[in-house]
Amino acid sequence: MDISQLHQYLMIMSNLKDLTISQASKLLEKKEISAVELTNETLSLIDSEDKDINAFITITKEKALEQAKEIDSKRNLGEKLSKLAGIPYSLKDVYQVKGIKTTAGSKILENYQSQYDATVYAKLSKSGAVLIGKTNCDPFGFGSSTENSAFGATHNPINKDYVPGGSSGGSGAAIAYGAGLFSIGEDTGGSIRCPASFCGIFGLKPTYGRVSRYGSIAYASSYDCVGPMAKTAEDTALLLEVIAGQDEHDATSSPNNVPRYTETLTQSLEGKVIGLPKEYFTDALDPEVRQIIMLAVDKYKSLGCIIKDISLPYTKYSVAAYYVVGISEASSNLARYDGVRYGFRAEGNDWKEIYMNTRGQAFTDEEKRRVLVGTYALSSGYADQYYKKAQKVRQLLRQDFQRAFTEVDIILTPTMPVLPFKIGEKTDDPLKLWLVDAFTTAINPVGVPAMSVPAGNSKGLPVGMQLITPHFEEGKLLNFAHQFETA
Amino acid sequence: MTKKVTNEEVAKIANLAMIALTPEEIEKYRKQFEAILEYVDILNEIDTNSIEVENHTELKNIFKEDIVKDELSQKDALINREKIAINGYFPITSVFNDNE
Amino acid sequence: MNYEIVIGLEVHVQSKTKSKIFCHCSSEYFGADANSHTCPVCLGLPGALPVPNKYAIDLCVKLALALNCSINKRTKFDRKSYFYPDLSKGYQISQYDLPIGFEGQIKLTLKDGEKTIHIKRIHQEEDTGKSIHNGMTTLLDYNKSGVALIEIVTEPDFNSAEEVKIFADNLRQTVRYLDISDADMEKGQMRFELNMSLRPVGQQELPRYKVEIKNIGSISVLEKVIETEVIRQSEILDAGQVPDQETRGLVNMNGKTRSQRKKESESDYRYFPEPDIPVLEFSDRYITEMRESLSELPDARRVRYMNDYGFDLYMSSVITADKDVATQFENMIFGIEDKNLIKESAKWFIGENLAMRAKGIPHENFSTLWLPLIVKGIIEKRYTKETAVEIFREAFIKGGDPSVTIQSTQFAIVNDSNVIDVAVAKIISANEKAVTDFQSGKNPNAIMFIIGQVMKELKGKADISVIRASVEKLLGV
Repeated sequence: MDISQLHQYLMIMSNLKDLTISQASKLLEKKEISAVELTNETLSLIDSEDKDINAFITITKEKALEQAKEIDSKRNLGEKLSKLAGIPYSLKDVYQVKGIKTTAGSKILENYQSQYDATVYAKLSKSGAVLIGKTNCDPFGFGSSTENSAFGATHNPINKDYVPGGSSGGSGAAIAYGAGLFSIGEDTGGSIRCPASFCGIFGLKPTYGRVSRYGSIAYASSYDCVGPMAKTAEDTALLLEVIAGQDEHDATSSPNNVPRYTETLTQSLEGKVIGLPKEYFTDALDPEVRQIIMLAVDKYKSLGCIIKDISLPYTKYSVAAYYVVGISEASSNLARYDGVRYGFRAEGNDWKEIYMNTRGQAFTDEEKRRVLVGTYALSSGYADQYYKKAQKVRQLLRQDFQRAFTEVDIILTPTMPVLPFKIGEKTDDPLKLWLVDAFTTAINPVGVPAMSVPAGNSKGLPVGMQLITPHFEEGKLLNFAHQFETA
Repeated sequence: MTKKVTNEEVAKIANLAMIALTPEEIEKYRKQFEAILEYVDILNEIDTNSIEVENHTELKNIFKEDIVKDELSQKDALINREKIAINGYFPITSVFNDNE
Repeated sequence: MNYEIVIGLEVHVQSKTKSKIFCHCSSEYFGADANSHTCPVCLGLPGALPVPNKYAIDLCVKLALALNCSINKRTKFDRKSYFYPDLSKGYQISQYDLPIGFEGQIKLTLKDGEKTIHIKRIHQEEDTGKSIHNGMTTLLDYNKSGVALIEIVTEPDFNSAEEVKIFADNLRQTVRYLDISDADMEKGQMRFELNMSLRPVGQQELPRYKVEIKNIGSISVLEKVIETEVIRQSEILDAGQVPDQETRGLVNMNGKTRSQRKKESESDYRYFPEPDIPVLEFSDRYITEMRESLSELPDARRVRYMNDYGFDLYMSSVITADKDVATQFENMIFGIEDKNLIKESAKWFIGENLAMRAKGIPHENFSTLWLPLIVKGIIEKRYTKETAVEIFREAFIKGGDPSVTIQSTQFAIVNDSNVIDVAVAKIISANEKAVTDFQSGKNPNAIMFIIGQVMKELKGKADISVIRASVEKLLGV
């Protein structure tokens, strides 16, 4: 390495925070840095910073170095490797990685040793990416601030008094301070988009069924989506190309072809119509957030877009409908946590007592709340009134979007109705936190893809805008995101 | 319309969901139940009588072939209970007089 | 007081698939080490997802068609929630309101006529793990968890233990014939539950209570349970009470039952559609395909044998009782047009063939395909029946191609009347007393003795009626 290269190397290494997959990939390819070096730098960073941020539950140091070494030797042998080879990344701790502890952020799985690999992890492994750790999250995805985790709250690296969003808050925070160049989060009602917005990064919730859920610990089976979180639209596009596709292990995964998302990023937006739903721009919206979003809208205008006011009239019912179906499914998905085969096990005089004590002691407040109300919503005498009713309202939400997409190409809203809030600010009232999801929860019941794109900062805190397209049009989402980012 | 929930109902649900709750917790969750149910009551504003529920996925007839593969080894199956497994079985305490 | 029995039956049948219903684990777990055939799906690990086994669905559809059910062309799976250690997910994937088959029926042939049993529904579900109670500890093995299970529910149409037995036997035979299940009771591949109550004779309405008895693993125990329950319930009714509506379990193999600890009120299974599995839609073509693949069922085959070949009920029943035996028989008569030969071969098939096998004589080397050839020799009078038996038994034990033996003159019937007359003359002259006894009328049966001696002289290789004719001629009868 000559002096300029060394200089560049040091610059990059001390600036892991800004390093993108795209950049790192080129450096690795040119052998200007090795995977082991990049991994070691990342691990050192985590070592010094994470104690104040708590983005990680588990740091997979050995595995990471093993993977990095393998990539380096393959590259030295002249093998052609994927763009992700040697790139350090993290996984939200809901993804099974055989041999590694996987907790879903819950005490009930605090010592659970994973027995198989999630499909998304298998795909990333195959591409040569280097897993540096499992990130903190609200237990089973139950939360919007990563404050409910059994492993302590995660702090927003941008301002440590503030929440990083949730439930994939650990993933958002990790990327924000440079601990890994991307992460895979999981989104059931905003859990990728919210932390992306609060941490100033890109987070994509793909179409339901676009990415395999096999090995992703379930919250709500008809909502859950596996999705990428990264620093640029281009990086996000690359990740989606790698992880999307039908999987024989997931009967709900789509057989649709996976487009080359990276090849349509720079298409012109001239003449494209952007819809602004009035229900997302009411007085409930924080004026600081509104301002930034409107500036973003102006930017799109300058790119040739036409802005149209639209209405999604059932928006006000979306949180309620989302939660009723979501927690009903969740109560069922959490029935397997009984202490018999794995996880936390309490004492008891017989299996019934063991079950009750295990779940009573290891589920936190939020988990108990959702399982109890979810059980109620499905129970005899109430199922019609709650679960079935909510499923019907879900149909109306679908129709809202179907109608809107006959008028516009893409919908733009703020991701969150508020700026990032302080840790502890909203934990006194469970409903308060539920309502923070107001703009993200209509999406999962409908299944359309949505993305949070960094739109600006206010009071030093990031603000994200949400882009929404019809099913399987992630290419359009990424195109809009990229053009905005690079304008 | 405020929905009233009794402690008894909460206890019954806790039993159904197999979660042990202290009397204080029952009271705490009762209040939250009411708040949540009151909030979701908004759904009753809508007349959904003529709505047909569609599936959340358009897929249908997704199957697997009848072939044997991908079994876990006994060791892997038991790994989270290795210390207490008996002859390859997962042990749990019986309910007295439990008929199977 | 006399009561009428009212019974509805629920049967669970393990499907004969290689792998489980929602995962690729082997379903042939019997005798294997505990927890050696599991995977994330059937073990209920976090993040695992079910994918339905196409072949298992085919089998369920076939059974529904064989039981004359209507098929729900659009069907789905539902989650049935309850907690039990052998239920790894805390819910069982089953079918609730859209079972694969519904409203079917089957005709039973009873001693005194026919009876129609209505099938309420047939659906696909998954089996649970196995629990072994060992003192204060229950041991759990999830090898059985996720095995494909078909549930058949009848209407309360049964009015006797006999009817239940015939239905159960019939159903068992049917699933074995169709290769839907081996229905090996000892391996737990077929299990029964019954709902039973009594009502005064002549009452049309269903009784106001019913007792559920679960986990009955054999047809003989099923009958015993019915017997003991009749006694138990009658006694209660006679005393002016109504038996408790409850679930009872088996105490012993003699049919004794006892009340199970009641689960808190009624189980609330909280059924809702399984979100991890997309709906199933059957095309008309698929249903036709399944229907056409149904092989001839035992009842139909019995009737065919009686009509086409003139077999009696006994002969037909013996041959069709077991699918393998029936198949062997069909192979044996394949290509034979001669109905007499078929019938005679059938008699030998049942008589000599099954008799030898029942004695446990090894028969791997013998193929029943040779039977008609042996029988043909008798019909064509090339040798006697006694000779044929010898040929058969030799071939049965030694194996090989008996046609050489059959052709050899060693066994040939003596047809030359001169040879016979010579033998008759020899015996008559050597047995003066018998001849005198016969001719004087003192012992009319003495002629049989003479005929027998001639047969012996001819080493059994003559037609007995020809010998008789010759003896009668020489004795001047």
